[in-house]
Amino acid sequence: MSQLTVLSEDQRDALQELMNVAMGQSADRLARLTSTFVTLSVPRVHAVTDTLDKVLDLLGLGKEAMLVTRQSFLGKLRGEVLVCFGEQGASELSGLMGYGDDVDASTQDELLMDVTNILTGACINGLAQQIQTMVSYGSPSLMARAKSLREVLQEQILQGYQSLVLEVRFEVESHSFMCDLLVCITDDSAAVVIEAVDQLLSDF
Amino acid sequence: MKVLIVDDSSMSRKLVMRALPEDFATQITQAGNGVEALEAFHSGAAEVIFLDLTMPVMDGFNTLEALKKEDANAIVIVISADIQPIAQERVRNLGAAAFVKKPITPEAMEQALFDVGLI
Repeated sequence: MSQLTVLSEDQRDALQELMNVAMGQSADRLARLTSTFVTLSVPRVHAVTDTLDKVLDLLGLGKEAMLVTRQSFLGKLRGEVLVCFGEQGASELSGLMGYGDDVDASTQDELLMDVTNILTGACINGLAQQIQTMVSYGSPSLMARAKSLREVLQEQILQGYQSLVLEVRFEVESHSFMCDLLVCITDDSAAVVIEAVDQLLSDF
Repeated sequence: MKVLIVDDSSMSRKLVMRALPEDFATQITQAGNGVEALEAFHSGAAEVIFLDLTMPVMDGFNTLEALKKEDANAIVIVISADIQPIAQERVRNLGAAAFVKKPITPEAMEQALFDVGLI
């Protein structure tokens, strides 16, 4: 059974707050990179023990085609961050970064990897710091182009990243750019997170 | 001092309460979003407001805006994970007296209260 199925309301609340702090650091890095103001959504915690349909409903990301990048993190805390951009995410991002219309595809992909690396690093470091553990990172890569999240998540579930999905949306003010960050934590390492949450809660 | 703590996370509200100096608060009211916060403020529950920014229903920016519009007589200290320089500048422009980054510690709380002249 997944650790998440037995999370109490207090544990879920605490976990959401840990993610809030971590995602705040990601938003700050993105804002500094793009010289903009980034609006953060309230982080959400999802169990991926439900059916894929239910998970997709909860994520609210629909069936539209997306551009998805990924970066793994390793250590006691292990999993993968997926950054879901809109289908036009690459060109929106290059526009945001001040590149002209004639920017080539490889430069756009490079930008996507840079942003994935920055968002993942800030967020996972923020989370790891709070639960007092160390992580290392794999290289970011393009996971899917013009694929629905259904297809992407199906692959994730098949690979065992099914325990915990933490979600936040970043929207850049006055621009059309936005992306969703999904932190997928493996079932075995979810125990590390929950242990840290319990420690926090026991302080009260 | 009547204290209002506004945050959608109950753990975060507890952290704020724990960080307050002993005997600082004579009354503590909690709210989970901006709408609840404004209701509590209108019922006379706040001289000092500790306000989160990222919240459902009504976020901290809109709450500050509403308080500013009615020229509210309360000291607002923002406690948030949204550490973007622009966020900090905005809350100052909207009338917040101080900004403290999450997670709040007793030391950071004491410094903020000292900076705004409350201790």
